[in-house]
Amino acid sequence: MRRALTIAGCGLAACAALACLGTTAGVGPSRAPDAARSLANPFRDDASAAAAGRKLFERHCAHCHETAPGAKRRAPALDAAALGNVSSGTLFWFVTNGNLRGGMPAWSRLPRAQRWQLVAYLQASHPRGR
Amino acid sequence: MAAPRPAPAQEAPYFITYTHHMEEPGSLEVAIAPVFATQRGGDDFLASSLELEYGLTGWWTTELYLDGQATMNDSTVFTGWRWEHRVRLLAGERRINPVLYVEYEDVNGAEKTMLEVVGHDVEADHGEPNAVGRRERERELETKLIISGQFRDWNLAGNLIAAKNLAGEPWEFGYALGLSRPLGLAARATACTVCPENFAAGVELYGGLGDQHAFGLPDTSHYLAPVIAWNLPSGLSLRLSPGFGLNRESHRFLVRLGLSYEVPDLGRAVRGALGRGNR
Repeated sequence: MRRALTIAGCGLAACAALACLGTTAGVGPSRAPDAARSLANPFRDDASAAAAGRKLFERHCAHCHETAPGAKRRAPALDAAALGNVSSGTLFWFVTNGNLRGGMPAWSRLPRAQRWQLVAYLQASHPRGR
Repeated sequence: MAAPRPAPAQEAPYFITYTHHMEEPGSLEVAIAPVFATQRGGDDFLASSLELEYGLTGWWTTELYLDGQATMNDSTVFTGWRWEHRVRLLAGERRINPVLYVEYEDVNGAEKTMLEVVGHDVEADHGEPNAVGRRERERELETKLIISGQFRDWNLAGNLIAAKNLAGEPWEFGYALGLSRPLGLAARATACTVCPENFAAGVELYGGLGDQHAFGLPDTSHYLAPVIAWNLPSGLSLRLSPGFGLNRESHRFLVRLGLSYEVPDLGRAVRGALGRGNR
């Protein structure tokens, strides 16, 4: 029994170390590869998609990226300063991959169309960056 | 004070198969997952687990299970507890995403939730009276290698299971495979409850692979189970899965029901409940 517990403990510790090392690779949208940055949003300038994206934002994102005035956020506000010069493809890549070490989940669990709708909403709200 | 917003889990609809998707950091998912099974040579039963899943970090999720069961014409018993950890090994989304799973369980022989089928687990194991099963105590270490990926909005996941009873019994092996897809890919612009984007459907295949002394399919049980999930905007998720035994060693029929609710940002919810709000 002691041997099995030792093996399990070592395995878990090794995995935690690996995970720490692995997660350092995914920090922030700036790490998006060139191929991802150049992707175009199939829902660009689609008001209906942006409205759907807003609904998705409220369901999945707003409890961390809180938008209510004076609310305490777990994650950065998604305002013009954060999104202004980020391309659609970079945002899509970041939503998909997240930043696991920084606490941002990977939203690959959402269908691609919904992730693009989220991007459409974020960029419609802060229209400087396309 | 801002009230916590509900957060639909939006998870794969599986009951048995794990994917690479982790619980959101700081969020608690509370779930119950009863299973009803027919029993040849004994009485049908209803087993269930209370599941508390918490996202420790973006790459580490932990979960506590409390198990019990009620067997017809017999009794209702608490059968034990399990504590699991899942660690995502690589950052970012890849075609195949590995996750390591480690669980310690302390259950008795009357445990019937069948959340994993390993070794030579067969239907006959569940035929003995609860009074007899409860006398057997099983402290087990269970590990899984979870591999999972998203392929054009389909989720494909496979789990390879290795479990060991710490009383010196041999390692036992099992598997679980899952394939699922949301029924609606794009979201509607308006709020909706019964619409395809809130449903996901798929199928699971799981069973035992023998043990280190007799690896393979003889004297093992296997199940095929369609699954469907409904993620309500209120934050509730409902799952349903009829399961069918694929050989004579398996229960002929199982039906699983899952009900879960996610509390996003547990710390904030607790502070809110204590009246401290966002100060």
